Amino acid sequence: MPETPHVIVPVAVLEGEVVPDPLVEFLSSAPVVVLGYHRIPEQTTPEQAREEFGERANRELETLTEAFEAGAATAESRLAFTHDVAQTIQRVVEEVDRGVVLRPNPVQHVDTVFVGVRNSTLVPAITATVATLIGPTDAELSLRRLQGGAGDGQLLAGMETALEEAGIADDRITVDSREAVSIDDAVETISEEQDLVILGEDDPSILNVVWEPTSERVAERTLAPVLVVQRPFENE
Amino acid sequence: MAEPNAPADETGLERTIGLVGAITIGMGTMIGAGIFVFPGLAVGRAGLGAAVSFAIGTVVAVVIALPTAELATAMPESGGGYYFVSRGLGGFLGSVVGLSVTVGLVFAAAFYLVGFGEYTLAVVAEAGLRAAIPSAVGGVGIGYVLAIVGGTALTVVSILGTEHVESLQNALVGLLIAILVVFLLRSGLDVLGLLGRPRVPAQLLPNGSLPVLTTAALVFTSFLGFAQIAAVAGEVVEPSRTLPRALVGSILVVGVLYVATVFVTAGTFSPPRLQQLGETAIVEVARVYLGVGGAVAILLAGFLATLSSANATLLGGSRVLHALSRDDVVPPHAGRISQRYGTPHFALSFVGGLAICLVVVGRLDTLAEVASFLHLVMYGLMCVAQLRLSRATPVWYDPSFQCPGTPYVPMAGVLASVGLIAFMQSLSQAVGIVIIVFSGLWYRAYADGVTVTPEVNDA
Repeated sequence: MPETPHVIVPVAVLEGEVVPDPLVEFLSSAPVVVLGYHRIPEQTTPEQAREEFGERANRELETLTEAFEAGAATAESRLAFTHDVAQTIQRVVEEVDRGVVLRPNPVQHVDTVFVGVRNSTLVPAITATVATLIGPTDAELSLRRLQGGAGDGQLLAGMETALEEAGIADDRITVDSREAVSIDDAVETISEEQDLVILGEDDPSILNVVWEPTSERVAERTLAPVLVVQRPFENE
Repeated sequence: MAEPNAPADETGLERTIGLVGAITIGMGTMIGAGIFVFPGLAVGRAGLGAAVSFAIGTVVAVVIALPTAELATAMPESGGGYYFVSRGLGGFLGSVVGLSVTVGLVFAAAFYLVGFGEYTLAVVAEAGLRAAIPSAVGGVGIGYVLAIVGGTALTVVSILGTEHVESLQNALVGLLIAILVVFLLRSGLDVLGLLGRPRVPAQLLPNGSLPVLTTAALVFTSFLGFAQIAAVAGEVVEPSRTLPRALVGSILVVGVLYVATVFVTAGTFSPPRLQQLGETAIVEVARVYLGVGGAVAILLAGFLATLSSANATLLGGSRVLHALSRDDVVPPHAGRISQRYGTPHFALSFVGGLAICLVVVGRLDTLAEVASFLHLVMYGLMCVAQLRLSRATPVWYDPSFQCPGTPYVPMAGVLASVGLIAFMQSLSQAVGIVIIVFSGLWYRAYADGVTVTPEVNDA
């Protein structure tokens, strides 16, 4: 089993963004990196912004981090004043080696979790993430293949076995071994039945540079929090 | 892992700028008003010798760039020259440099705005609408009015905060270079006689060789901005390799473009005709070789380039003011950031506002020379700072790139800076000296006793 993934929680720290309590609780079994960011215009340098807003941002960030520390194994915090939020998140992903990025959305409770699998290369990382986060909870899992990746029905069966080996009772796991479902259809199921989504990061391709990332589309349309499992950085 | 109060790393600076990105920053700041405004004026003064003037500028800039690269790898701070001089030579000289170069940037911005006004006017004329606008408003020439409108708009937009300006600027640099290369290839072939008869002027130096040197002093403004690369040293990948290459590379590329442009300009019109054509002479040069299409392309390029230079200068000025306020050389207001827009509103309106005022009173060549004067004082002192630091080597001074030919190259940098200043018009020299003296007095009156850390004596 690969080493425990870090969950990166980006928060627009000066805009009063908070992480809902049920999510904080749900993430308590993984090491968390709270990434407080503040997006600044290009006319302003990060140093300048830090001098002006640094103190207030640190206070807010500390409060947020304490909430995680109350439960999580470890909670670290980073503060970044940035012109490009996506780039900053990517930098932290590379630092932690095995990262899972949260796209927060309001949530009342996390009882049902949808796991969407597209590509076999990310299966070990997704399995590790699910085992770490879901293991200690009572949440129910639904595994489903999504269109847009290689891999056949065996993919989910292998994943189920690995999760059972990691100690998740098989009555908590529902495997939907039908044909891969499109993102649009998945969104509909998720909105009706699921509290939280776990997805793999998009494959690197030209189209994905231009298009909105799948995770963002899912987060926007389901209004559920989405955890995006990142490709591991093998070289580091 | 970093604690919330840990330094630099925490500001969220990614090392993401590679060699091409750094060269683009340098070229984007340099290729602005210089190449679009000066060729006509310079050839009008010095004939084909103006090509030598630009070549001199290129060499001087390279000589200054090498010690700059060393300083930047040791001090990747956004304060740039102010930071280097204050840490290398102490708070007094540092403050004089910081204050005077801020004023220098105001002059440069005013110079770019005047160029912008001329180009806007030429665009209006090309569109056949010249008759539709008045030639002066309240006694101020219409070109200056357009410069003031442009400067005001730019300042307001900067304060409101914009996104994607940088990516726009990168695209713009590519566009400008493409236009220039097409223009230079077509006209260069012609001037050299490969298409039709050669047009190299018979009289190389119509006014003797002295104008070559005075013109070099005038057009050095076209090279201001290479030090902007040093200002982003903290974000550059592999700074020890990238910084010197980007600094020297961007200067050489723009140097070649400038010399070629002057060559073509001198081969197309006689100096008296160029003096008559003035700031937008290069548009008429393009019209000769590429017809209306060429003229319109150069017009648009000049319009955009002057605007982007003015914008970059405005931001540069606001950053130096921030560095000064951090060291308590100027009141803290100067570095404050607007809570609403997240931009340094005071610094931007100060630099922008002063530049707009200068547009009204200033002459183009004086504005350019004063800007160069104040920058050259800073460059000269940066070379001195590099000499001192490379000898004293305080513990914090650990450059990953060492200037080749130390101490001779930085010494040459000092001499070249002083030399260029010596060939300026006496009005520009007088204004420059007044600003330097005022900066010194300001330090004595407001900031005396301010100490900066780390200092050269920190061992």
